[in-house]
Amino acid sequence: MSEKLLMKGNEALGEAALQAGCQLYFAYPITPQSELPEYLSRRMPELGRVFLQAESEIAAINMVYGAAGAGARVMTSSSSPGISLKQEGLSYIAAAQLPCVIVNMSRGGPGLGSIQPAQSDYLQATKGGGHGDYHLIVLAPASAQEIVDLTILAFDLADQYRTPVMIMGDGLLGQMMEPVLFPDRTNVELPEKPWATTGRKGDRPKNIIHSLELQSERLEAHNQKLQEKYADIAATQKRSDEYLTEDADVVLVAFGTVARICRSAIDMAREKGIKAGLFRPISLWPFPDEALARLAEKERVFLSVEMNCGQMVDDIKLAVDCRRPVHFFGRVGGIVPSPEEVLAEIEKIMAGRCDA
Amino acid sequence: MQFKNRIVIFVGAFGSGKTEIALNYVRVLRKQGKQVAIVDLDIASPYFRSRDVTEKLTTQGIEVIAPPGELALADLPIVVPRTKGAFDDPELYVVVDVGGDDIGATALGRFSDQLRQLPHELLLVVNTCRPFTKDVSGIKTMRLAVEKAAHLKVTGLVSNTNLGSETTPDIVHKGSEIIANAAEQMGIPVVGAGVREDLVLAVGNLGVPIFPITITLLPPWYKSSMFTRDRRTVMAAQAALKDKLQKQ
Repeated sequence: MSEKLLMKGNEALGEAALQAGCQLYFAYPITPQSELPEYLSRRMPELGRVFLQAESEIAAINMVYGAAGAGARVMTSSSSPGISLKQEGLSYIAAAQLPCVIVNMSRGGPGLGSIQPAQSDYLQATKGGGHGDYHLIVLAPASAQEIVDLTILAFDLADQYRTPVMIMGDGLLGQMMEPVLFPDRTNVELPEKPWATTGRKGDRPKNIIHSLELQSERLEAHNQKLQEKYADIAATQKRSDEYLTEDADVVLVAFGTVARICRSAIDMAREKGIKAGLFRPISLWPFPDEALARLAEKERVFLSVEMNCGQMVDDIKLAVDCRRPVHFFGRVGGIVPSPEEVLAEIEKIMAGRCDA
Repeated sequence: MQFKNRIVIFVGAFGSGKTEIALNYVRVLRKQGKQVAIVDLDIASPYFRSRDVTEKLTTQGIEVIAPPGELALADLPIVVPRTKGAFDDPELYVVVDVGGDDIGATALGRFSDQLRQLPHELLLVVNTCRPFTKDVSGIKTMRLAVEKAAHLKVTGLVSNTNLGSETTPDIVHKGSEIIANAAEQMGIPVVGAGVREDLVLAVGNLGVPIFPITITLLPPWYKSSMFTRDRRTVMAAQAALKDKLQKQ
């Protein structure tokens, strides 16, 4: 596809997954990500690939477990409550070191919450969610085009590290329409997967996919191996973006949809003579702490803006090593903050700073 | 773009622009002093629906027929009983914003018996920048799927090709050609073209009536600063258009 199309974030994600070579997709519908299964249910049969609406989210993630074990590029998607249901499966997949992509177009919580956008699954995504010492790589796009780019990257990272990768969006990102361009993906070579259960035909030792290690020493060794992998990912896969941070007195920290709102607020603040800037984590795990720490070398304040009750604040505080003040502004319940109210918060902080 | 029929129904693919066109059309009717209702029959999309601007429309004197109160925010396929009464009211101009694809059109099918007895326009809104209506065969497939679900026949096409914020006159013209082609092959007329108001002058002649569109439903960052950056260009284009219309 060389021409630009106008696509919803959910649709763009589906097409990007197909371009990345996703062979199988298993999921159960939930608002506000249902355009994604809707899109794939049309396109995958056209391409001779597998689209399957499972009987539940739990079934879907275990189908992903099986398909990933067999070495296929595979994806599932859901929204907040459905992602909660998948947590046990995610822990198993991480333990068995299998590559796959999980999409969370999150909505207002806790519980059934609402169908409006939210970012209140940040802690669940970045600090575990399931049991045991494991991590997901978590990528947070902020536009339809970035959804395309990060989805393709997600499949590549999953294979490279044999680990589940989550795309963390929100309902608004999934529903809004923007122009997108798909990269030329012809002749892409996928990595060999000698560990996959593809049928051994007598020419290699058995491959067994499992997460059970009854012997303590072996389980400890396995954990150490996982930790080494996570350290490697943390050393090489931190991603972030900055906007007007160079001279900024106040640096807003926001990801996904909210980062776009903050950009508008920053432009408005600059027009009023307030030097504001934006730090946007693109990888939520690993959190881009070094880049943020560099910003903290200069005397300035930080303002975390989120559609939750402050779930990212601790990560920011750790990154800036508590050297600088970290403020928080958030809206929840499915309410998307407006650029005007973010601007009001910036003004409030800057006024307080002058008083001090 | 103006229809003599009192009932005008917009159908089409997901994201083809039905809602924006319907919202602009009810405002035109209202400005002409007509009694107007908009039916939000979108049972498919959870965001960016006519009901999101209920308050604004109501203050303009436009009746919004949509699930009441909290139910407006639910992802439940609710069709409001008032819809039937509105269709039957000979004094009321009814504009129907149907949900996307055949899935959305299914809700309209529920009123097919009634609508077959009433003069109406059933307009298929087409944007050739959308993935499933890029070409003539895609448009034909969409029309058949929608007709099958709605149990009603499409009476006209509305050309609405755009690439969101990156729309150019060239894109509009290319889309318009594809849609004209599809219309000719199906034996259905193109009744008009929706064009963002600031692009109307630059687009020029499309061979069909142009319907200037003011975009209503935008994510919050387009509503202020990022949007204001090119607001001056937009305002200049609007003023030029107004000038031109007055001269006519």
